[in-house]
Amino acid sequence: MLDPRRRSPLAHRMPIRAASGAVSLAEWPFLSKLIVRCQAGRDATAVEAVTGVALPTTACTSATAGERSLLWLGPDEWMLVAPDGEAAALETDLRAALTGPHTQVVDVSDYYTVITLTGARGRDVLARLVTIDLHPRHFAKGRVVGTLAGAVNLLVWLRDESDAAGPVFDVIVRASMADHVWCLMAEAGRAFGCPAQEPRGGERLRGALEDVA
Amino acid sequence: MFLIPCPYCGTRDQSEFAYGGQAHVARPEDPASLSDAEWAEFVFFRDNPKGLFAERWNHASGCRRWFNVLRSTASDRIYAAYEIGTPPPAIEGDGPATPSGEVVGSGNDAVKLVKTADEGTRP
Repeated sequence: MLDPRRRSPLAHRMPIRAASGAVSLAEWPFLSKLIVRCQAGRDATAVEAVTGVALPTTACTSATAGERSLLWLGPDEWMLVAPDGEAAALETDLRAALTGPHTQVVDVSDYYTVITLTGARGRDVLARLVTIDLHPRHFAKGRVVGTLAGAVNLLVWLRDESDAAGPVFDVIVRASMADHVWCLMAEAGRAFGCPAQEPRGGERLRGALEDVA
Repeated sequence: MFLIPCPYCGTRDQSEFAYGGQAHVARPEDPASLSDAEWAEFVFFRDNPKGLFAERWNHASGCRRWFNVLRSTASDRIYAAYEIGTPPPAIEGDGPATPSGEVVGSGNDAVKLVKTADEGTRP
């Protein structure tokens, strides 16, 4: 049962959109996220039977079926992403299906939140924060990479990419770090036309006051 | 700063990794039977070579897996990255050496040798 009073970690931030449409930033709150640890060779069919998604075994890739996705985090570790409200049922079903040794299913929906970064200049915004190679030739649709932005661990997932809309990045961050990462990304976006934004509460963006005055 | 080839994720910046000290240090089978000196040897004493060194690294910000790296401490050149539990691959030599047999690299300022073509291949 979902609590109607729940509040996402970035509830005090309004979506930011550059006037040119080159960059936009929004939180994707309350997404169901589960960490699944199992042995790919032994448990792939069991995971697919429950989730409907094939387990991706190539490093740094993801698989999507419908609204659910499995992201590769390590050789025996995946993150299952599903629509809001599915976490509890998926956790129960996966625990029943994965019975072998060295398996683990944990609901981490509330531990992480997702910042969705879209627009043609999305790669440029992200490139200001992380050291990984974001060139389309190397970082293609479906790629998911754990990396570091300053002192923060991020999971960068290129969920979708099309010529019309450009790349759609989902940056999965710990809830306690979400506001810090939001500010980092908003500041990086200022170079590509993102307006200064006053939050509904909480920490102000550096430089935002000067622009308003 | 240098790039480290994680055997699972591929080459990444050093800032994503945590260092784990010397690799292939086996825990004694029966610690209770050791003398204090032998136990101290296992707990505190590590090799400190100038040249090839097998060490453990953890990809802390990526896949969070431990693995071994064969690195030259003189040149920071990484010769191999391999999974925990596998023996280090055989590597022949570590670049040019001084007349006394030392590996040329950082910290070897007293003996400056002519840079060879090998220098250009360092990461």
